[in-house]
Amino acid sequence: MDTLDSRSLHNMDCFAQKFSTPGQVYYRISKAAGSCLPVNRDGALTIDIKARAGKAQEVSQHNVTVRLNEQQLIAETPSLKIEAGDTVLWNTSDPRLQGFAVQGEGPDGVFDSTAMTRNAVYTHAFGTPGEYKWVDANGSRVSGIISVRSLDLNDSEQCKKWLAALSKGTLILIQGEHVDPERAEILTGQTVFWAVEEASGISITDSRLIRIEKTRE
Amino acid sequence: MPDIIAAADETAATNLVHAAETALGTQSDSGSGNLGPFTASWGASANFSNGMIDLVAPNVIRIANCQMNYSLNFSLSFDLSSILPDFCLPRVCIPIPFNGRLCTPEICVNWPTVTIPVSHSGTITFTADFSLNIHLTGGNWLVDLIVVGIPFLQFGPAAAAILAAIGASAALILAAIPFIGPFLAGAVLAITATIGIAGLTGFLGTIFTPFVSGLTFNIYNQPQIFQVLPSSGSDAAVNVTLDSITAAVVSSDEDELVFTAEISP
Repeated sequence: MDTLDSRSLHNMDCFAQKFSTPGQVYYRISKAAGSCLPVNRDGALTIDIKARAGKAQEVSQHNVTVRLNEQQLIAETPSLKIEAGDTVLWNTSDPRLQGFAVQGEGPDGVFDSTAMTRNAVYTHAFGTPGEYKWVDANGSRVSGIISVRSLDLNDSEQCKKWLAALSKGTLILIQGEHVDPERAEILTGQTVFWAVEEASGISITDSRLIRIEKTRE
Repeated sequence: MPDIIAAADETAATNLVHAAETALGTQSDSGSGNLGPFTASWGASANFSNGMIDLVAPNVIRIANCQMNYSLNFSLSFDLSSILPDFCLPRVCIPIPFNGRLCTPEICVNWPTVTIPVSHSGTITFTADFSLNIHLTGGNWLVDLIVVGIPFLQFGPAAAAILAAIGASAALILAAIPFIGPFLAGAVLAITATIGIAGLTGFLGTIFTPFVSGLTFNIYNQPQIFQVLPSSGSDAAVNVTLDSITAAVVSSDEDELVFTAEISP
């Protein structure tokens, strides 16, 4: 599966959210459908955000692994304790997991992998060469193109170059409707980070999926 | 002295066999088997055509250059992990303007199980000796040619073509699998090399040998009791019983397939 869509996270995707204000976050991990439903605080997953102890300390990243347990999506750390300014990153290592979304609310407002608003990051590792036009499935005008190419790995030099490139990511910064850069060129297996600093609730979605959805309508 | 004697020379016998090949029609079979380390489910069909009769006294009917026209569909299913190395994308860290530094975890690629469909059709020419089998079954006298032994089927050229088809089909299907790009050429090579010509030849032999083992052509079929009409209109029709039929290859000035029959009213 090589699906570029922040509304439906797979094992080649990550979603990260920065939490800046102390307080309690309630969130859920769900199958992509039903994202408009409110988060039920009873039984919700939680993040307890404490005030940062010292200004000099570096912010931390906390990883939450999502997996299937008897058809239920679960977070391996259901109750997380972090400090203000820290980031939580969700992903799954299970390739059978057919898409999930992360949605919650806290002192900074709502956050949602299907409609990113602020201080959110979506990452995708591209496995197949080609040209990917990405758009916002929620209707804004943000968009861009990722061009993915493969090297000839029968050539040992190119193979070394490719292996070295795998640990280098590409950043795309989104501020409002401004996208920088609008076009990026990467190698197969490389990861693109879409950092949403401020937006109206956008998704990062392969435009071909939007065409399929419109055809179904 | 038999009541009826009929003889067919090699040309006439060849025509009888061609009619029998047509009557036999297309035979089909399906199953599953091992193709190298892979499991393959297959469906095959075959029919027979052409061939020249060579009569060899006293009892050998040789069909030379008989053609088996076959069609074969099979699919190989296997876990790509069995031929590809474990592969993980490393942890990737980059600075994010509002976030300090963000790192993705190491992501390991789980190679899927793939199914590679292959279709191939062709013709194999073989020569085989047949013996006569005359029997009364269900009120009919039948004269069959039954293959003697198991004819040798030369699958070498077909195996090479099918191996190429497997490689082409595998390349097409594997190309769509994420992250396989760098390993694609090696994977296709591994699949075809693992199967090999010898493996494929054995696989084809297992499938198609049953089509020719026990191969039987019915060249004569006559009800034991049949009505004979009088030459003039005043006599009544009579039923005649074929009491026995024999057949043999007789060599005189030319080789002939000679049928004899004893009848009674």
